[in-house]
Amino acid sequence: MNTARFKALLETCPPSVLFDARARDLPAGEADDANRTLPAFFEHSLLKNVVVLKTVGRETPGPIGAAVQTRIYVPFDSKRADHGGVSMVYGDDLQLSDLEKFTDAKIDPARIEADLQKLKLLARLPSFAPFLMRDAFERANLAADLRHFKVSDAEANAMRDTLKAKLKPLAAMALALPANAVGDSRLDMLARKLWELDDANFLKAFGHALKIPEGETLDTLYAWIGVAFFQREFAKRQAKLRELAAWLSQKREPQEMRNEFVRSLEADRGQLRDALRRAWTQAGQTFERYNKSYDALIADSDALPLVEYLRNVRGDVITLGAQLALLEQCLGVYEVAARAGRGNPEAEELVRDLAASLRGPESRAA
Amino acid sequence: MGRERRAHARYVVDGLMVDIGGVLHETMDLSARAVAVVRKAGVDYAKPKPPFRFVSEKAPVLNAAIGNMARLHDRGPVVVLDYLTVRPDWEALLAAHDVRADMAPLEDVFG
Repeated sequence: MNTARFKALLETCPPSVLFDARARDLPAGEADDANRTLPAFFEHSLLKNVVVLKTVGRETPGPIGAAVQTRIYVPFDSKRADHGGVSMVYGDDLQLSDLEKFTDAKIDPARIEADLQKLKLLARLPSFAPFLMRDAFERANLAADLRHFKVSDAEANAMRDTLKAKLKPLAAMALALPANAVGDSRLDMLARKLWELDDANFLKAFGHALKIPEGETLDTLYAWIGVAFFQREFAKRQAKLRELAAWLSQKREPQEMRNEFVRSLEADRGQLRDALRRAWTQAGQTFERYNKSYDALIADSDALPLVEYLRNVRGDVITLGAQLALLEQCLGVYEVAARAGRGNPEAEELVRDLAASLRGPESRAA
Repeated sequence: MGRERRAHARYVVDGLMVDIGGVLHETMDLSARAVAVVRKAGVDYAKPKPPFRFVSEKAPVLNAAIGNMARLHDRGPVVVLDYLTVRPDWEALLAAHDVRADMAPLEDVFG
C-alpha cells in the first residue's frame, strides 16, 4: 500500500478496515471535566500511536477472499499519521519476539501481555466493524475501552437483539434435544444460550444434533452469527457501491485512449471493477446459500440444508470479511478520488496502487 | 389441517407470544392460519379456553385479538393450533416482522 492510499484510508476512515488506536479528544457529548481525552487503546508506550488495518493484497496466492491481512502501522509523527511510518503484517500467532523485532526494542513480557492478546484478537477478526470488535472483546473477556469501537450502547443493543432473534429457529431445534442437555424449555432462554455460547453441555448436544465436528460448535455457531451480521453490512453499502461501479465504468473519449498512460489507467480501473464485481457476486452467492438453508429450516422444518451450510460457514465468514475489506478500501479510495475530480493525478495514482496490490507482489516489483 | 398449515408461508417473529386463557406461550413459528407454541403445563390444548390474543412487547402493532383457536397436532414440546384473526393485514404484518425481513438478496449493482 502506498502513502496516498494510506492517506485516503486515514481520511475516510472506513470502520471495518481501519482501527485508529491512538488517543484522541472525546467529542463534546462524551467528554466531561475529568475526561477530555480517550486514552490510547494499547497500554504499552511502544504501541500508543498504532493504527491497525485490514488490507487486501495478493501477498499470497489464491482467491481474493484469502488475501485479507492484518497490518499494524506506527507513524513516525504521532500527530500526523499520514506523514509516513513503519508497518508489519501479522497474524494471530504473533509473538513477543515479532514485536521486539518490529519495534527494535527489548520489551518487558509482563507489560506487553495484555496488548499482545488484544492484537491477536484483532488478527482473528474478519473485519474491524465496530459492533464485531466490541462483541469480540466482550466475549473474550479482554479489558478494553469500548469507546474506541465507535458504536453506541443503543446501536450495539439493537444489533445484538436483531442477531439474537435470528437464532430463534435454531433454538426451536434445540427443544427436541434431551432435557438434561437443554436445561431449559423456554425458546428465549435457548436463543440466549446460542448467543452467549457459554454453556458447554448444551453446545455439545446441539453441535452433535447439527453434525458439527467435536470441539467446533462454538466457532461454527459464532461464524453463522457473523454471516448474519455481514449480510446487513453488505446491504448497507449497496447504494454507495452502485455509485462506485458507475464511476469505474465511465468511458474515456476515443482520442484520450490514444495515450498509452491513459490506456493503462483504464485497464487498472477495469481490473478494479472486475475484482469488486467478483467479490460482490461471490458474497451474494454466500448469502443466497445462507438464506436458503435458513428458509428451509423455517418453511419446511428441514434442518439438513442448515447442517450442510454449517460445514463451510467458518470459511464463509472469513471470506466475507475479506470481501468487505476490499469493498471498504475501494469505497474509501473512491470517496477521495471522486472528490479530487477526473484526471487528478493523485486520484489516478490511488486507483493504480489499489489495482497493483490486487495483481500481486510480482506486478509491483515489475 | 396439518397439511394446510404447511401450505401457508411460515414466519418467525421474535418476542411474539400467544395468550391462551391467561397463560402466555412463546411462539416458535406461525402462518396466517396456524401457530406453533411451546407447551405449558396445566393448559388443556384439546379444549383451549379463551381469551386468545397475540401479545408482543417489542412490536405492539402485533398485539391482536384472536377469534378462535383449535389444536391441530402436537409435536413433542410444541403444540400447533389453528387460529383466526380479524385483521386483514395480518400476514403482511407477520412478513414485516419476520426474522428474515432484512435478508433481501444483493442486487447486481454492476449492471
